[in-house]
Amino acid sequence: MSVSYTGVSWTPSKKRYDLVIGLGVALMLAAFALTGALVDPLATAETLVLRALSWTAVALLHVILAIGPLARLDPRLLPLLYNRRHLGVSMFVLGLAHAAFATAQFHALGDRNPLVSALAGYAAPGVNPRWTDLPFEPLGFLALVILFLMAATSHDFWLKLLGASIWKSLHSLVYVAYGLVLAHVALGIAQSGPAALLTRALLVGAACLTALHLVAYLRERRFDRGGRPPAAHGFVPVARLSKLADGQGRPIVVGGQRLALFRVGDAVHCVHGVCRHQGGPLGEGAVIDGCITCPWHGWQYRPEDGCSPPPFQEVVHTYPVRVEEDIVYVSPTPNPLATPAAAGDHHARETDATSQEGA
Amino acid sequence: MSATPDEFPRHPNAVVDRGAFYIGWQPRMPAALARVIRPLVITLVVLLVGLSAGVASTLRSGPPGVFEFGVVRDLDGVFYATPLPTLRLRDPVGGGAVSYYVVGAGKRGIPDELRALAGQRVRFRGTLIHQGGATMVELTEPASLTPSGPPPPGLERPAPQTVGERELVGELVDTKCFFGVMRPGLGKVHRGCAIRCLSGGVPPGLLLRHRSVDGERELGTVVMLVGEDGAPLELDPRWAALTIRARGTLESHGGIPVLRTRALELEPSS
Repeated sequence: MSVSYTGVSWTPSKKRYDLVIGLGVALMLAAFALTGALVDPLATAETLVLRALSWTAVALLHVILAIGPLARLDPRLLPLLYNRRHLGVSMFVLGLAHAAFATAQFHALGDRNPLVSALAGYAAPGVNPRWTDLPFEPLGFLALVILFLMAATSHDFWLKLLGASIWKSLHSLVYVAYGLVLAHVALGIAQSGPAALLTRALLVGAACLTALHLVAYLRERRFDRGGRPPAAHGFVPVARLSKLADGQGRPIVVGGQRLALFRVGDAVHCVHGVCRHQGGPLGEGAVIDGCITCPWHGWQYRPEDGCSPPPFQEVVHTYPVRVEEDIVYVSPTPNPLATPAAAGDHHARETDATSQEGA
Repeated sequence: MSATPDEFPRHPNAVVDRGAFYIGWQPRMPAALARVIRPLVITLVVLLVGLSAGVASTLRSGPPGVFEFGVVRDLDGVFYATPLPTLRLRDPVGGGAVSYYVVGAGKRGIPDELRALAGQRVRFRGTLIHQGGATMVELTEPASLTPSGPPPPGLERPAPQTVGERELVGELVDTKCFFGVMRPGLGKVHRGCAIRCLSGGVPPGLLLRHRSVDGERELGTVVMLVGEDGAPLELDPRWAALTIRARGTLESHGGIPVLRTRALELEPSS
């Protein structure tokens, strides 16, 4: 929840996560380069390093893109999501090293600026190139620009500065970058000769990512379409009070919106279901230290008014709640932002709805 | 708690056990979660490392060729500028003399300082590039170039043997990369580099592909391309890695094929 541009606070979780990233990347690079040198002793060190860097970056990109839908399908995997940006920055550094190395190797020490040489293309007059002959360098460069923007703005300082909507849109460009990377590698394969295992690995990777995203999306869509119509008093029945576990969230759908319902002791609270940080599902969170806690990165909000505890300034809408005969009802109309709202209380279930809303 | 079934739609993720809820800023991961995460991460790392080795084992870097990168030798011989920049020197491993093609450092042909010493004995420090029977030397340290007098006896160029008029079709390559500086040093994937090399003055070559006698392997022979008058061949560097048809007089320079090129055109299949 740091919103000032300060260094990352190295919690034990972050240290372990980064240790695994470092170790895994080192092992992948070593396995690739050593195997390449063994099976092709004449391969130059430059070629091996170039290929090892690119392969490792592409493989990490697949892991990064898989974590999101996997954590949606099985929340036990959320610890992998918590520091995912560290994986992203690591992958960008690998891609940057690959690009720098390739530009120096193939375009430096000549009669033209290496970057211009790499990006200008090389269409020859009178030649109609097949699509497989198109230069692959600009595709990789464009992907790298996107990945740079993402890596550079990965700190929460930029999230705060840009706003969640712009920040999220910017980081959704990772899918564009993925497409560019795939095209970059595919053209490279098409131009350098058969690489059966690499081709299969990329195809399987792309198919798995597509399937994971599709399954996760369809599951969410099914739930979002399952909301109940409002009762006569305009509130929507959403759950049985007796089925709500204390301190554990429940995602609900009211009036087409995803909201989050929490029982805290005798009180029931409802807040908007989308975390202001990265859009995490607050309804899948829990109450920690008296605050609703997002399961993705732990951003917190007070159940009573939807405000983050000081010094943080994020706010989510709260929604009027009423409880009648063990049924919890939620209004589709939110309370004014940052307004303390009385919670639905099952001791007061016979009281007038207006007084429960506390508006 | 009521025993009545909860008839309200419940999100599948809402049934997570509260005891397993964990955020990275908390000091310790619940044991139940750790039992899931640890083996998963270990399996993933092992899988990725194994896949890295597997993918690397299937990739090849191109035809054999050696660039003695980092091994800079003192060379002493007679320099000839045409039809190809060549250093004629005593054979370091046997009697007689051998010829090494000369190129500049990086993606460059020979510098003007060396071209001006055509026909003279020169000394410089360079790096060998060799493939098959051909050897090339890179003028790695231009500052080491020193003229050292008239050519000594025994280092005259052998007279070229004319093979005849030929029309050849093959891939335009830059000979420095092809002989071993880059692996792969040919093909479309190497095209950007080849364009820079040809543009910088590295001698062009025509790679002719043919099958081995047993028909199991594809072999490549490079014919060096020079102008009809023996001067460096003028061509569009962007033709690199494309299929070219070349016509001219084929000569053998100590076993190395050289085409004095009269006409050059792109093949439609490029």
